[in-house]
Amino acid sequence: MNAKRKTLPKGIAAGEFDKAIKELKKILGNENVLEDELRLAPYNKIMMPVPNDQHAPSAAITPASVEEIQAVLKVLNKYKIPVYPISTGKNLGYGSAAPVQRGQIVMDLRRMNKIIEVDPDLCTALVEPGVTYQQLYDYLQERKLPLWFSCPAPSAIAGPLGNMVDRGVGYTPYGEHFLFSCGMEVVLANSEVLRTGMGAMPNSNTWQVFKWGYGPTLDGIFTQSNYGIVTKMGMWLMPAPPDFRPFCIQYPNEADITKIVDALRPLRIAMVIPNAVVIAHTLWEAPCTPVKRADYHTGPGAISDAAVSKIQKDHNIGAWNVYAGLYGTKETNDANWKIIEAVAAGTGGKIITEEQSKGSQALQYRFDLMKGKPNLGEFGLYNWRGGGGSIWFAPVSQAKGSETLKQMKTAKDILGKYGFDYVGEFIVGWRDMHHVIDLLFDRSDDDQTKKAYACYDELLHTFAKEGYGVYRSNTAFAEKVAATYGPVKRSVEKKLKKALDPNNILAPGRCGISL
Amino acid sequence: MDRRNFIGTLLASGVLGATLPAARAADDLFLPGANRVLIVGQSDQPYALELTAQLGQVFTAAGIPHMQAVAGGTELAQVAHVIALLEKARGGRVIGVMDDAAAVIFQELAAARGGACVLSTHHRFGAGAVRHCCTSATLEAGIVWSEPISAQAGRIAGVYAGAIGGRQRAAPTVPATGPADGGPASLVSFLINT
Repeated sequence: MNAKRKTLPKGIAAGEFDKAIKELKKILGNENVLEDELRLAPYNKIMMPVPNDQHAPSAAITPASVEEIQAVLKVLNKYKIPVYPISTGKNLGYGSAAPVQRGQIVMDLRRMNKIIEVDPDLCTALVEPGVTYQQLYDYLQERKLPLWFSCPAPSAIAGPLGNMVDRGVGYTPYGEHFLFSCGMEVVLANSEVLRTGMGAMPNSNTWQVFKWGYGPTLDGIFTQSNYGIVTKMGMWLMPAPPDFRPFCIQYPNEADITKIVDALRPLRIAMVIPNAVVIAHTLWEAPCTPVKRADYHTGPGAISDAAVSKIQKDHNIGAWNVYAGLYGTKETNDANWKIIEAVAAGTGGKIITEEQSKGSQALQYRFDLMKGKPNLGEFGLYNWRGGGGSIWFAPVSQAKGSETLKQMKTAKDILGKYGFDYVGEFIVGWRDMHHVIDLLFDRSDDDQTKKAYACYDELLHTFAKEGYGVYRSNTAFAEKVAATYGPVKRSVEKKLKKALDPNNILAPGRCGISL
Repeated sequence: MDRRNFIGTLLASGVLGATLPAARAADDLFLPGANRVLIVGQSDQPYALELTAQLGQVFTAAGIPHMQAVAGGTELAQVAHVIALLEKARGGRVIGVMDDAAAVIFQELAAARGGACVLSTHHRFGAGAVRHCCTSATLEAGIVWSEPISAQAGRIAGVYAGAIGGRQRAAPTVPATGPADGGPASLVSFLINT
């Protein structure tokens, strides 16, 4: 056995693993098979409240083509060695680039980073896994193409394919990313290559324009799953509107969330506001302003309500801060603006326009995200507590005021019990809300790390008892989250796994799916 | 530089103490040859600037060739700026001293270009004391120690000098104090092989 190797896949003997590595090197070249601990360090950097060892890879490989992936899978099937595919590996707070289970080989697809096609007439793109949002943005800018895309907050370093496969969301009218994807290429565990939708048909030129094809629509089973390796994704781009009018509405009280949601829901469903409205709490805005927590609270425990109120006053931040935009022509936006003004006036909100927001970092990064301009403004969150610990708790809620207040209060109580702050926001889909909470903790502090784990666990199970499921989860809690969705769904998922990946080599454990 | 020098530096500084057995053999922690080292400090973080300056002094004394750069928090949140810094250090090492947000961005952008963060230390500043938590791909567990703030820059600079190599200069020895738990200010330093 390689003397430097300390991690092996579960149940795989060192000698067998060495043989597999040798074969992988033949396919990929030595430089694309990483084994030593130092080169593997980026694949074992996590922000979750569990030891790094729990998610340590045995090796990492960086194939550059579908053909190489096919050849690699033949080797892995032969030795029954599990592999964990990542695109750009920037799923920070959800597991980053580390495998879901210790010992899995990370398959890093960052070398597959071609923007294969952008059709400016049909407003579509076809991209590989390693393409980042920044890369796509630069591509469109360089060619002066008046097209926008939707991206998540860490967009500049993350990529559209990985985000879509994890069913991430963004902030433009195309913010539900899976909904606006169109066609996938998937390498299956047996090395067959499947193209979904119209892509299955030879010589089709409608792969990126019609999602459904004929027969069952398969795309969904390759998201939040481990049934195949997605190597290409079609996505719809949005024509840049002639007039874009982003705005913020600030509200002074936490309880205002009920009237905010009830007032905005009809506008969202009727698409007067076409994008995913964000309703951000004070403590989400504060670190991105930036405000230092230490100026308002020191010592252990959660920040007090009085301190939060002081932050609001000192920095002109609302208890809730609504971000949305109007996308259209000047005439349509003028007409809809009157509706927005009336809603704000009727609910006690204070409107801040883009012009009035000049100089505010917190508002600017939001306004940029609403037009698909990648930035890293939201990383300010990591300074709030410090220490590098972050996991997202993301339950889904109905877009009803009473529901959102209930969820917020429940989460705040549980977080406070463990000494953590409520750093949350609601992202309004159409009829649902993604309630996204960043559980921030000091990962260099063992006590806080243990509390963060226990806190997430209590959040998960308390919300599940109330019938609230999370839409996405970090890899440390994948199994527990999957369990909250009940046995029948899991049984079907297992049957699919058995049919598509009988050797259980593709990311076993991802989203709780394994044989 | 090899592991013996690194561990020796940690011992000389009183950092390792009883945790030494936790350190694993890892002769490949350090790339052969003390080639370029770029030290990047965050200009709007006073502790970061202090440590950056101290690193420069210790590296000069140890005969380690290095360059220094400072950048504000806003610049360190911009992809183009961070990539320009990484370009400057291409084929060598970067030591960064910055806040948590900037450190995540820097390390993730380096990782996307094949860089590996081989040593990272979180510093928590409390009333008069600073708590350090040093982690490395080659250590079984993080090494944690605390000391008076007045001593922090010299000692941690010695740790990084030990990691990089060159002629050894003993870092100041200061008795460890109790942990600075829950302190207000937080900072990260790290070493990346680019």
